[in-house]
Amino acid sequence: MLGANRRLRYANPAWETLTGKSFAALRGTRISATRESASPLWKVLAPPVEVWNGSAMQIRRARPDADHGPPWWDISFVPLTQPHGSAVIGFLTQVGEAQEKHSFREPPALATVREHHAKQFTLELFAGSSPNMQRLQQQLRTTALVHASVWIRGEPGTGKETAARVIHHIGPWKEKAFVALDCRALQPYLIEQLCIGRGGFASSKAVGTLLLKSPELLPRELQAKFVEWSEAKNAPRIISCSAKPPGELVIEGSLVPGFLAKLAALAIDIPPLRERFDELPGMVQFFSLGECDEGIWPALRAHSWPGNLRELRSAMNDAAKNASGNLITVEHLPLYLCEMLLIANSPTPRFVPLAETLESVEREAIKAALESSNSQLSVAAKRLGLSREKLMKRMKTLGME
Amino acid sequence: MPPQILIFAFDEWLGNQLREAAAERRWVLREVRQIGAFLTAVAEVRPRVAVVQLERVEAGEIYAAIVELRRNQPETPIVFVSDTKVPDGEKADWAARWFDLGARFVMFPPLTRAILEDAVVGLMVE
Repeated sequence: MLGANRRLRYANPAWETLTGKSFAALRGTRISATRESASPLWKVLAPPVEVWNGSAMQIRRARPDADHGPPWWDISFVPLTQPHGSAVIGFLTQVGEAQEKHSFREPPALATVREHHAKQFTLELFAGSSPNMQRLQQQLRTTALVHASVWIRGEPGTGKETAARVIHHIGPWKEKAFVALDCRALQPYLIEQLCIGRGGFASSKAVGTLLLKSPELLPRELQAKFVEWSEAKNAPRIISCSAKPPGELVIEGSLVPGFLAKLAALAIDIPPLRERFDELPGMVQFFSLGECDEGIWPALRAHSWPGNLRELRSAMNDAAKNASGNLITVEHLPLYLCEMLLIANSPTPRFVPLAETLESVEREAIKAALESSNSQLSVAAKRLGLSREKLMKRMKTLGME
Repeated sequence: MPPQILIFAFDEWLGNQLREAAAERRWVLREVRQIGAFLTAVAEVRPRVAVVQLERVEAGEIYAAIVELRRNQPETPIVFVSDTKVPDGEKADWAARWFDLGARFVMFPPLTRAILEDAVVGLMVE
């Protein structure tokens, strides 16, 4: 029972059993759901304003120690009018049994296949002798060891998701799952439901790494929820990837500043394929599509590969199909790559230094003007739109004296 | 060749849920009932999206096929649809592991046409 000043006046022993609290210790405590310092118990027990205004109500709430039921607490609030003000009596009943906590057991077949799948993602995928690739490998190796958020930047098709997978699968959290969500393809409500919704990833410890692809496309409210989730105990490591750096996206207004501060602790840049031509044979070999003739490398290097590794894989897939199991040669490559090679091999036009060309033209023009004016300098200069002095000076420079 | 949705399911239910959305956008909807046919179809037509029904969550043969598909055609998004009722407390555990295998979206009963359409159409357009 609560008095007019919303303070606890009486509670019976059954209440003490249900709440696990001593009435004697709490007698006189003000019960309010709106006070910031209100404990979860008071938030559950506080009558709504309608009850204080004189309406009886029955309300179902989750227990203070749970986000939802069962069991539920059904509370019947009855307002009382007294000479010195109103009071409220609440009758509390616990409804339903707590659900048995499910103990998930991964089937061995699934565990085996996942393990086999994970073995593909090694640092070798980013092997290379160039300084860029050496640095990238080092960054991936170091990042894998720390539970910090990462922002991977790279052009489309450069292998950002593969890099995130490598970080996950070579790191200490590899036993947990890697989850990649494409914020461009999936509607925000689907992503929110999967992650933060009821029964979503936030309620499980199964996810080791969560990859958000292009998180700048999510609504700002949802971005903020991810920032909040990342600070929770047992939250997965969040890796984000995009074609742009996070700072630029914050300035553009498409990314909340909190995302930059909390979810981009480490930054990794993946170089485009055109800057990794040294690694072409290794990459093509990784696709395991068949033996390649040495002649294909110049053709592959002649293209700028705007679609990066994705485009390379597709082109090599086509080539392997055309080769039907035989050695893959230039003829098997898609037509546009063969054309690129032809252009690259065509003779380069001969360029003449511009100064030489201009001097030659000047010399011819002066010679023609002098001939047509019987070598009279004044007349020739006039015809060329110059003063006599300027013409003489120019002739001296050109060695025509 | 128009974009294709490839469905591996044990009956017509999944296909029926997506038929209208596919027809509206002039996409081809192709259904197969056997894992072997599914892998062959994936290699032949390179579908824009593959929708895979998991009859039993322990279906190791399906998982192996999915890994094979991911290795050969990593650009093909896969939607996993479980037709087995999973306790609420276990959904995230299952979903996480299916994502780990390369799924782009995961659904559990009760399945709704709206969510299935939203997920598949989003992945097709992307």
